[in-house]
Amino acid sequence: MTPRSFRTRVLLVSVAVSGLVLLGFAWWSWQLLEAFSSLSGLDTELVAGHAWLASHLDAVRWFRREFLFLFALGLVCVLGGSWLLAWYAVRPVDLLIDAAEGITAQDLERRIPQRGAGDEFGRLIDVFNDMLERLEVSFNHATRFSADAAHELKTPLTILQGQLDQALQEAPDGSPLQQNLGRLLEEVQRLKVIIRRLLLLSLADAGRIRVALTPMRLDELLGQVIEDVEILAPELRVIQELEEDAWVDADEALLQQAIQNLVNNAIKYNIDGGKIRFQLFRHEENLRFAIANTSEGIPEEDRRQVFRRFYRADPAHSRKVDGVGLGLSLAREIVRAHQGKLWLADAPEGWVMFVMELPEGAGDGAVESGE
Amino acid sequence: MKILVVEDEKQIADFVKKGLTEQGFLVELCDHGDEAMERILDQPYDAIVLDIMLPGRDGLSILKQFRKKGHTTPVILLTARSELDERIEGLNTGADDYLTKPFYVEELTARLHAVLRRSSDEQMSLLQAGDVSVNVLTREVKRRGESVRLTAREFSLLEYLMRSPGRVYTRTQILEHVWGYDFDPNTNLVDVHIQRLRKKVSPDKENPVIETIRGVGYRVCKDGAE
Repeated sequence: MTPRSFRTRVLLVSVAVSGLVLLGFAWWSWQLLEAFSSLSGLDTELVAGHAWLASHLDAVRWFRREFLFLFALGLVCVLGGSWLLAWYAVRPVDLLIDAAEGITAQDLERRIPQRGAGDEFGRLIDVFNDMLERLEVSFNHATRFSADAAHELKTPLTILQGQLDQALQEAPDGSPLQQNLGRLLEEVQRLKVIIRRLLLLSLADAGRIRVALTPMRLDELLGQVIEDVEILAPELRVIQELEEDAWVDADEALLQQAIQNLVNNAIKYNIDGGKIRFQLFRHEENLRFAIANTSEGIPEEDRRQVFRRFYRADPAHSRKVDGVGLGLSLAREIVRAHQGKLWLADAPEGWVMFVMELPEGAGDGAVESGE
Repeated sequence: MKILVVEDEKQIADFVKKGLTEQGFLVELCDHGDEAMERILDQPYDAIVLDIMLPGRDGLSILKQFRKKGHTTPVILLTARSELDERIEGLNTGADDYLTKPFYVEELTARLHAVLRRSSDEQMSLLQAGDVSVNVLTREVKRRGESVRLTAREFSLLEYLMRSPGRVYTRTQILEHVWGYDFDPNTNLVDVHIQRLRKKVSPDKENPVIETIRGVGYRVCKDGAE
């Protein structure tokens, strides 16, 4: 039941009940008035004998003359009162809805103002606020946990990486020991990446990815990435249609990672002798970057899953790709933090296409923000 | 160059000290926030490396007070927690640079050189190895006095390797630093670029500027450096 229809129902019930009462009362008083009028017409003696009746006869006559008007007035009062009642009775619910709508994961500290009433709505607000309190506490625990965990892991990682690096520098060049140390460093790197991504994702969940925006050219960034693709996957044919002079306000390191993740995907899930197409074009106020690759296709049930964390289209590939299946979900959070959108678009048969949309920047010389 | 390293994790402090000493810095260690505050107000250092999480006063509040008293000594923050927040807060508080854990000691040296150059106007922008020289400011590369044209990627690759001659860099390290890849795309991206770079800066095969360390990575030879 929507709040509007609830309010209408209160109104209808109230109108019906008080209308009936009004009607009953009107009918009864009309009967009484009729009785009085005939009485006063027939037997003035009787009336004269009754001092009270005699003194109020004028009032009774006026009442009878204006009866219709009074009835209409009563009706208006009933309608108005009912409307007031309905509005007043449901108002706390409206407040509750407005307040609840305004609460997202990012500002769980908001509470619904208690209006001092000890009634049912007051209790509802209390209960609701208590629930928010518990939600906030456990949400903060969860995000703090990720942040703390990341921090706790980073210290041993720093030691591990620092000491391994030192040992590697000191080992005889090209020795098996040095090669071993090199491999261990790569594993440390993998750990670093996983922890970094988890931390970024936990920040995103708390709505706290902060980006230091500077104006930069998206077409140039893509140009560099495409240059890499030609070395990364020389067997793939690259098609590019890039609009020039495409400025965005972005955190370059983060945006570059988001794009590298998309490109990496387009390479890994391509087919033999396939193609990659890069398009950059303007769409309304925004810039759209579409990256499409030939592919065996994504099964319908997997399409909704691609942005899910730790999801992998092909488990056998997993380790070879980026290790953890966080690339796409992170890319999406990064784009969101730039007030943009990233989605899996409909593409022709045999193609998979992702589209990234970012607000177009004013270009160089625009206001630098973030610091 | 006297550097104070404020870091409570002993093992981190040790390898930082060792790495910086190798690069010719004079390093003092300190493992407590309150003590650090006293020491930086007491003695002149050329630069300070400051961890944020410390017993006693934390790094940010040390930095804040240090700057409030009008000191301009360059400070590099080491951060581990929510890196993005602290990066912004740190730079607002008056840090000259920041480094996220885990870091390589060589990154720290590079940052230190950068902030020291910034603060002392010293001409350290010329990197030299063998017969190749790189001017970091004008982005000019010369081989035996003749200038060599490099792409942006090739330049950052060469600059990165030449910052610490004699140091071995693994492929992932190079990928992370020069390309900004935070994952290994499992290819020969680095090798292809190194080959192209070699063709340009040392076309004759004898005494190559960039050495391959088999099974590990690359380095720029140390001889004739600086």
